Amino acid sequence: MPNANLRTLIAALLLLVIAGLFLAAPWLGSRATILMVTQAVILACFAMAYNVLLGQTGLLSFGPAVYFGIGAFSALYAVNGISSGQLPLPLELVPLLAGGAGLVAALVFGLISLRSGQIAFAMITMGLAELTHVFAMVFPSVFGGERGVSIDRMVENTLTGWGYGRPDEIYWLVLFWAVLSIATLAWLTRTPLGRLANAVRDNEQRVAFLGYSPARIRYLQFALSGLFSGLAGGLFALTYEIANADIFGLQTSAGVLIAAYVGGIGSVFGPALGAIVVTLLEFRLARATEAWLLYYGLIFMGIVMFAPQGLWGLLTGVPTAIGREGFAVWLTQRLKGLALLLPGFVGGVLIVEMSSHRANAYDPHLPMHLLGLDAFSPLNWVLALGLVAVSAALLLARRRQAGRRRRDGLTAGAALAGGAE
Amino acid sequence: MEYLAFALVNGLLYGMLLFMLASGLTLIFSMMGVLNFAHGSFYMLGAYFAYQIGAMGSFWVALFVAPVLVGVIGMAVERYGLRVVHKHGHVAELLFTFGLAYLIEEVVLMVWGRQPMPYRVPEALNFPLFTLGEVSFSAYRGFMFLIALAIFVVLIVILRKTRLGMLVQAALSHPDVLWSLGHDVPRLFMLVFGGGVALAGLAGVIGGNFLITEPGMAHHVGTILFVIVVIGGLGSLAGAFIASVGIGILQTLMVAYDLRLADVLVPGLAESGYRGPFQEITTMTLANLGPVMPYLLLVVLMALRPRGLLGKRDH
Amino acid sequence: MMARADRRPPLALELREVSKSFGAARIIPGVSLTVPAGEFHAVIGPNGAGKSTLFNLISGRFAPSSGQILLGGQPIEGRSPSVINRMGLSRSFQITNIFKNISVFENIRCALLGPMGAAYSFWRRASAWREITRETERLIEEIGLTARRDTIAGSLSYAEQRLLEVGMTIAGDASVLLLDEPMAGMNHNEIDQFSDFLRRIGEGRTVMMVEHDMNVVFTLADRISVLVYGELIATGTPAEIRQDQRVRDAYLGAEA
Repeated sequence: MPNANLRTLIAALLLLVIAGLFLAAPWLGSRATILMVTQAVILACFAMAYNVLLGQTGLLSFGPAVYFGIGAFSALYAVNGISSGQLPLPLELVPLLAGGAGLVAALVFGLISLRSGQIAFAMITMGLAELTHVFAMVFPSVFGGERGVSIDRMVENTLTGWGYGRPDEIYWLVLFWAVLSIATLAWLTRTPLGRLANAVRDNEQRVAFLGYSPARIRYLQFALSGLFSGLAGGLFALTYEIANADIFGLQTSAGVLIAAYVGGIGSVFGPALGAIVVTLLEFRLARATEAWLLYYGLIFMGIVMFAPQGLWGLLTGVPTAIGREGFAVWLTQRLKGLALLLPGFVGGVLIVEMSSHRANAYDPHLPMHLLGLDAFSPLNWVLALGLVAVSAALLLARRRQAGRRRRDGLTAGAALAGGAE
Repeated sequence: MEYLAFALVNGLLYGMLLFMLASGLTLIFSMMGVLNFAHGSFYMLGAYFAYQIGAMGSFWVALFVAPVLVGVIGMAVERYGLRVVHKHGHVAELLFTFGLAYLIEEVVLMVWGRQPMPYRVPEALNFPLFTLGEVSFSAYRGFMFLIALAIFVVLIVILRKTRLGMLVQAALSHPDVLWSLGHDVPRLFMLVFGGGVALAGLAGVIGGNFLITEPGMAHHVGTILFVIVVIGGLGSLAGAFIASVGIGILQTLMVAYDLRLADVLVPGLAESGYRGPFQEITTMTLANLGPVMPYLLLVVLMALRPRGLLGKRDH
Repeated sequence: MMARADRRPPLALELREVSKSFGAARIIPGVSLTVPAGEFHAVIGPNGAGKSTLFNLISGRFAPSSGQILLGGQPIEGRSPSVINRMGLSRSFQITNIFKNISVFENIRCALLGPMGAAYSFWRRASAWREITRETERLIEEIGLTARRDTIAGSLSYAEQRLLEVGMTIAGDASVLLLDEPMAGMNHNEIDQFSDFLRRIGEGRTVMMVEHDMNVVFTLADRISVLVYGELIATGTPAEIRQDQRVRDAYLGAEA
């Protein structure tokens, strides 16, 4: 099929561009940029590990933070051990140890989490995450309380001889492990276990009737996910040289879940793409607006509702759509859609920004940064609400029209003609 | 003795409040197959709305208006959100409600800020109803108890006596039957979702001033709620009731009794003066463990009985 | 034991007084049945006679309330579906039960990984097992879906999905096959083609099949069992069943 080939080509190009950017990053950016890219790489590894469960096996976990956190803390203690000379391990291998810790934790917690069906699994992983979070808070002697546990990663025992004082040095170390993990995770999807996991996701019952144990498949996948989540946690600890009990919190789990889903859980590399996009958003949006977490949530909801295939699916689906509709039609459709949504988008941003200004600004009556608007002017509010209403009305009208056309098409026996808007 | 009695009564009260939430969650789950992650968020909205209405009008207006408002929002969420996501499956629905919880929290933060709200118990009910020994029982607790009890009774009557109740019951045991009865199932779903979250809103109205009204309340109550429905057995109303009251009483008792853990587990450990990793274990009390207890219970139960107390099915 | 096996052909499947109740409802009061190796055995009966329940008991979806089920002489009652499958019994489903989001090729390969010794492996790529790939291609050709090899299973036509369903069931060379209404929902043309296919897969295997199409049943089956209200009222060759007065009264007569 030419479409499948084109899809693969696009995917390969995307990967190449991303890989090129990452290789060039240390020369392109400032210290802050390097840190941002490092974080993106770590989250990409974490999101891919998380997707072993969500996308590959169909298991929604609310507790990936547990394995990430355990990996991070074991890395912190390992580095402390290395600098005090008690642990004869080169710094570069610390992420492996963190992965091992994540694996052990997953092997233990997997026994409890996987005993019921999918929905109960989600709840139990969340219970376990809460349990670990509270546990970590109760024992400051181990997890450092509010201040956390910190390290100095500049140790004697290294393989490369680097000091790891410079951000680009740690970036290379992180990139090495993350790329190795991502490649391994991608490779794992092609093994018999990876294929059977997809089968379990689609139809657990049939897997059992084909002679496999779905429980065993899930358990193995859970363990693999724990291993690479732990490794990502170790990379996090090496980069930031500190962590406290909050690493086990729901924020961590929510972050990786959103990243993976936004990128696209149905594809192998989607979660990594999502991680990069989400990290960019986090750094750029957070600088631009107080309400960035709200936008972040809205983007997630938009993907859940209208594009469950995620960004990766949207991008690689473009050639198929163009091939089916022709470029001109495809482009006008997209432009039309944008025109419909634009007023609502502008209005929505105005509402959010004005509310946020009124709630958070030092003196809400001062004009806003955004166009110098007055957040208390009724005119501005009417304008914003009006813009949203325009978009809503246009969308509703289009849906009604499409619905009518579909009905007419069906009665005329020509459903196909009605489907092509 | 009075102390124990009060702890038990308070625990029961807390448990009843939890059941107001858990019952709605269970009904929604049983009928629609959606585990509403945002249930705690609707509880939070109820409390914030009640505070806002109370600040402008009175608590008694809020008592009626806030739950209705929450219910209407819930119906809109079902109609324009959940229904769209439904075709992508249960995991997508769960993710939708997860995103919703996230959004509601952000909106609350944006509108009302990070600080707890001064949402207070109404003056008219702010007096001791009776005093036993040294502790007194406030009239507002009595009022909460009445409301929770009334809801409980109304729920039973609806389930047992009305047509809607029969439908709900049928759906509890055989979820597929709904579609074959020729009812307007989408509308029924909208009503059930709206009704369920309105109950959560009501719990927020009467619980928010009694406990606390702050942005973290949704997450706090939400997680305990999931523990309750999993422990009780997904989809079982009776199980949810037992788990709600059980956890309510257990948590209250644990806070009430200042027992040192080390004395129970390893006699002499507390006096050993141990310093090092996990040294907190020597000074930890039962009250410290209160917040962990529901999750611990969940883990233990899952290891022993994965279906939950009264659970029959998973989906 | 040995002496008896010499006298009679070995039994592929044997049911001894198998019963099943759901609560107070006794769906199957007690069924005894023997299926010799290599037989094509059809089970017929009116709707609600308990045919699917019987298959669910044999294949391990439900445990029987009482009685024994022997597969090649080994008791299997109450074992899990995966264990029973590994002991040599494979089944298809009345409602198509495939992996909808992966390709035809992957569907068939998933069914073959276990039987050909690659289940749960995560240290080699699945494609590294050349013989599995070859066998997958061969099976896809056998069920006639070569042109649809890379199509996502969920987007196949209904008849193609039925073919895939049976293809997954025969993958891995189980000695006993249970086919639950393999032709449900097919038109005449498709049924004709499909019964040829079923005859071919029945060669060298023991097949037990529930089917409503009487033409298919009477041409394919070596022996037929008639199940009415959970009770076996007759078992015999097609000719015997056609003659049987009780069957005519209870079942065939009602339709004629």
